Amino acid sequence: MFSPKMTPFVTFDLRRTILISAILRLALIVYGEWQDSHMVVRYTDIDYSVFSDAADLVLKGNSPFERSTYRYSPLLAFLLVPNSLIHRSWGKFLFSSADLLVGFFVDAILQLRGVPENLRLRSVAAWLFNPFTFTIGTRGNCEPLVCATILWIILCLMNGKAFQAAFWYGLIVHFRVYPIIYSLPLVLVINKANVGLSGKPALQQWGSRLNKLTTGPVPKPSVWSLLRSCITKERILFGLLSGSVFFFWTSLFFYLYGWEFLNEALLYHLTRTDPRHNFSIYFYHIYLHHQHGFSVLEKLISFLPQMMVQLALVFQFFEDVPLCFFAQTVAFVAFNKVITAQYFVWFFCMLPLILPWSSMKLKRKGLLCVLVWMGSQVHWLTWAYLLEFKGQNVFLQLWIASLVFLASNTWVLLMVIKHHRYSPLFEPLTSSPDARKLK
Amino acid sequence: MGTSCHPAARVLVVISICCLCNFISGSEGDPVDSCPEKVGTCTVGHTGSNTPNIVGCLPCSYNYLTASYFDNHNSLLDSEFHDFLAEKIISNDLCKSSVNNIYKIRLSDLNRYLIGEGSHRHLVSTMRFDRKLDASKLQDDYFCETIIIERLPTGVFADPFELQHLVDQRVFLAAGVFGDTNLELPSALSNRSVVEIHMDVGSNIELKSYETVVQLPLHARYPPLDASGYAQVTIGKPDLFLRCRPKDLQKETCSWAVRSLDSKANNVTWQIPCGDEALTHIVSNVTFLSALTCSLLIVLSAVYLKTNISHVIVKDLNDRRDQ
Repeated sequence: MFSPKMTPFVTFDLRRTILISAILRLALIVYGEWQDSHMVVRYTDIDYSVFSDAADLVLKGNSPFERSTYRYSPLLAFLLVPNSLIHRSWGKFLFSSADLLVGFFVDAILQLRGVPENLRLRSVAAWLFNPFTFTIGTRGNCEPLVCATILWIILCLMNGKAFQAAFWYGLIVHFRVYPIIYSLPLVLVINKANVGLSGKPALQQWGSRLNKLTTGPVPKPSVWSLLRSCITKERILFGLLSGSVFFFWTSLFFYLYGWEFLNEALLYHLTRTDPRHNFSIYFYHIYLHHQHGFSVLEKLISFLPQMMVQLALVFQFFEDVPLCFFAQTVAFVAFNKVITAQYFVWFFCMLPLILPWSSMKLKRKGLLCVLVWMGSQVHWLTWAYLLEFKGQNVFLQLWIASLVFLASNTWVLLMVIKHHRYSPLFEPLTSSPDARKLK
Repeated sequence: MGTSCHPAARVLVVISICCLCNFISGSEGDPVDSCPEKVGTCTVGHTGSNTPNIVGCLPCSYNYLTASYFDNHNSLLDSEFHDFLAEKIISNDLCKSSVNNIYKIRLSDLNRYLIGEGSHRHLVSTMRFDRKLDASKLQDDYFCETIIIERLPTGVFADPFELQHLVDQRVFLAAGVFGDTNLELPSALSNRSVVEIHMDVGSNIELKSYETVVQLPLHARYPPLDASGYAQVTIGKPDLFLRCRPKDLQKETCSWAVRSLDSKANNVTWQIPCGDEALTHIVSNVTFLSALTCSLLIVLSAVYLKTNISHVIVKDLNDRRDQ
């Protein structure tokens, strides 16, 4: 589909991988139906019934926000209208299709970057056969739609279609808010050479000898020149277009559903704090303060680490877009005030895009990273189980487990960055004489 | 995340009908249940008050007895709630024929306890009913429901969507949650809610006594902070009603005959872990310090690794130029 240059053997392999994944997902959707009707503990995500109820409401001409806890764009409710008209599993098929599409997009992006077939397939499999991701779509979670759109945006950029990328970016920020963290790297990576007027931009290839190169030896632009170079026509246009799309959908739904839409679908996500236990290190702090509220200083202090990390990662790594997005997302989730397990999908979809550039051996450090990350999660879950399902007062232990989880996230992120062969997505706009000589 | 793995049977309402060898013959002539003893009050939570003796009619259009209470009340006060019910269920001639019949069933015993552990438990109410000898006619001509109304304290809540799922599975005839249905807020920021469940009274006309078991899934809110480590939430006795209407219903004149059922019932207490206020400062400080340390590590590593990469590149370029 996206790989016209692939050999028939590889095409077959990709197709077979996708086919097996599709069968797996189909089987899980069917199984989910059975479990829902026969067992008390349901397979289907609780949010899926929320989406379905909201879809039913818009079909009847009502506001989707009449369904309490519906906190998404009304677009999602409209997408799931066939749940009421065709079959209640429509949404699961839609989300699982998006999930498979992510597999296609991973392959397409890696192919454009010149990654060999076997590595591409391994990366695709790292997404498609990740038990965490294939259950997400089949349980009726909408995150695969967001993942597919983000990857599509990267593909658009790589194909020189920056304005199409801007359109989808505006839409997805309206849809799920969190991709707003990618606005700065997106704007920074856009320049004259990759806006598409002069055909496809030049992409750095995986096998390139100098794929560590940025824009020549130790570039140290002054703050003024950095600022001046930031404000270009292409960047302004990208910002304007994506902003317009965002405001178009937001205004449209504000016009249709009023403040309820704005509060539930947008402001709720920006101001969300949850005193109940979750992976975030902030949960116990929030619980201990919930009867008195927070001072402005406390709010600022809790925002500072997130801000610092995001800025540092963006300005250091924006040229290597997949690495930048991955690192930003891991950090964003790790430092967020609320962390639920579904947020992990946000960076799982970026992981296959950076695997081919990692020098980490899967059997050694790679495995260690997986074990540390999973281990700290299981440790947290053990305390959470004792609190939630055994009624034991282990708030303190659970909070310490959250700190351990943050530490493991930090360590794994540092390991990933350390072993990553830094590779800007695009060839530098102005190569140094040295670099040109070496080509 | 794991689950408490309650067996399926825990959620299902089991309507078990059993013969009682020591059926009390004297109960046949009793018009109403005897007045129960006063329920003692507990330290925390709402222990509730006794349901007043209410008998009257209610139009069939009113599905739930309690649905409109919060239209005119901001909070749940037991006395106001009972006044509301008494005003709502009025005596008139519309349900005259049914009223005499609803006395043919009486509640002889109510037993309450919690099952499960942790934040998600089931409140079990076992109701034992006695039926008059001529109650078989009631079964033939009337459709009867038992209504159980729980006035929940702020510390716990019922999930309306979970209850709807049980209604879909025909565990309950109907179930509604009214009042504060926010499922996320802690107790300190919540108000009380009312849960109303409708059950079939049972259809086996042969038996004179039978048991109905209601298992209501409840969830604990995060309680206010307390140094003791645990908060006690007490759930008082419920309001119970029996209502019947003729099976051959005519829409215009359709009316339920409603009667309150009273019985001795024990309060149930739920121990819920809570945060310790004494830890506030240390938790906040360590939280911020950890976040700052981890963020600085990431920032420094990002800067160092990128600089390192640039140096490697320069070295790489120089090496190649020298060659």
